[in-house]
Amino acid sequence: MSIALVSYYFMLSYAGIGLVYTIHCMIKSMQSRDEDTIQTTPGIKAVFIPGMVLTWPITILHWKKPIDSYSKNVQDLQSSHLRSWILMAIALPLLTILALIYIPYETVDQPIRSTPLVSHPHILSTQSASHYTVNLRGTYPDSLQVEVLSTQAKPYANQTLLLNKDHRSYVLGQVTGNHVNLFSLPPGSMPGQINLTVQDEIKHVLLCEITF
Amino acid sequence: MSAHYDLVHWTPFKKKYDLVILTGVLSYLVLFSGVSLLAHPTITIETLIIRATGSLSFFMLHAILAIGPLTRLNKLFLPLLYNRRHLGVSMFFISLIHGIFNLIQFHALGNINPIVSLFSSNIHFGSLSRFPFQLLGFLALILLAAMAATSHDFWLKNLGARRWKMLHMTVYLAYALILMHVFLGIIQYEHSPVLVIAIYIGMISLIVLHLLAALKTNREIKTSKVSMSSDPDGYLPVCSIDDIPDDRARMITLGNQKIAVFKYDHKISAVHNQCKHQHGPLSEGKIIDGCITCPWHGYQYLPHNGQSPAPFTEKVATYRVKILGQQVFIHPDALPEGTPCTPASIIQ
Repeated sequence: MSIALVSYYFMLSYAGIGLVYTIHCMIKSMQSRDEDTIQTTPGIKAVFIPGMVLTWPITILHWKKPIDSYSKNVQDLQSSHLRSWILMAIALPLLTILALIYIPYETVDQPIRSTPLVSHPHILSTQSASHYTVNLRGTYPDSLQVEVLSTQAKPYANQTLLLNKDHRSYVLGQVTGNHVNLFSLPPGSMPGQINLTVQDEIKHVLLCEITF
Repeated sequence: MSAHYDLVHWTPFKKKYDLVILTGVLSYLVLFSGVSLLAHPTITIETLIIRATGSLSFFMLHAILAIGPLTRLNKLFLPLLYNRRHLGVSMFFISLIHGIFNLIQFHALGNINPIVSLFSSNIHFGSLSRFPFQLLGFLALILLAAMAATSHDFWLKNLGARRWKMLHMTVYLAYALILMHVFLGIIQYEHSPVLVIAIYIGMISLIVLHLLAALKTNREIKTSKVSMSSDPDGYLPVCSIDDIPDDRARMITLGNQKIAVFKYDHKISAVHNQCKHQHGPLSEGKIIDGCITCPWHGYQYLPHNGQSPAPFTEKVATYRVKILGQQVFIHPDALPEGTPCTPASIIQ
């Protein structure tokens, strides 16, 4: 099972347990634990549900083991606050500068030539994590042809290939076996190609690997 | 501070505060949309919403994080603190819109569950330039959700002040995650120096403000420390009567205890400095209608017994006080919370 699925099921289980616990609290124990809820209307109590689903382990901990040595609290919290900001004062500038240094100026989203020659098509390639090579081929101005090559004979039936253009995703086609049946998107495109009408947008063409 | 919970304890000030938030949010969205449409006429509505809400929530987070240290540095900013949680909840909902639109736009068009897609679409954890920045935003959104969902006073009571405060301090982690979400995401595609400079100004301002505020607090603690040499009854000399302004307090530090010593109606009383609500500094408050009033959210306590006036139930610890000449003395042993304690009278 992939980390993605484990993370997803973990979150689902956490929320599920939280919801069961919340329902139990709302029906059984809330009023005995906090008498201010006795006169609180059900509508207001409903506002507490998301918090209980999200923080149920801390709520259980507090109801089982309350802490209120509050003179120590402030000293600790002030120290934590100072330590947090000293750490951030060092780490954030460092990380952001590194991020600026490693900006990918020359990657798959490099500009496609405005008038690529048919005999020397400008090809941009990227490889997916699942051994697919995806080529973007500029055939004539404002148009792209997409081809998908697989280095593995593994079938990926019913997977969808997406093209992410100017922060927008387009469904290009469906993977069947080792090739992709490309859909004609957006309207006016020929099968196997996408018309990009604004030259500026082409700069931002980026292939997503999310569906493999 | 009540015998039952309401959604919001509305006051005229809170209504005004929320109106300012709403006006600010709407103005920003309209202005951003207008400028974006002028600069990029072909921009899609989804992209516009994603950019507008993303930038707005980032801007609001800076404002939220700046309010705390600003109030520590200058009391003029206290009104901003009074209803900060509404600003926080508003910011969360705007971030949520940003997150949902992103999830739909980038992860909901395939046949994989959008959340699974979010976790699996980019696994270049070893690369800074291709780092899965959307995951950072998602994790920050979960933290913001936990904070927004527990912003009601019910949670302050049912998580305990310390745990509640610790949970809400994860806003610093959320800020770090969001900053890197922006730097490893949008900055990788939008190479505008203006954007980078603006983000750096925001980041450096916040760091400087927080460090200055922390230094000021440490300095105040040092100057408020009093000698631990007591008289035969165990009382410690803490300050002169004239050191305390009328209807105000002076904070003193005895060991690890912070105590607010109030002067009012020719009397002196001392209570624990921490408000029971959100640990606000009572010594920075004043006496209003005969009650010590916390400067942060207006919680009140009677100075002679540390109890909130009925029907409220909050209590703070009290301290025994005596006056000899012009000198105020305090017994360092805190009395149980809400214990009545005769104020020391100032003889004219």
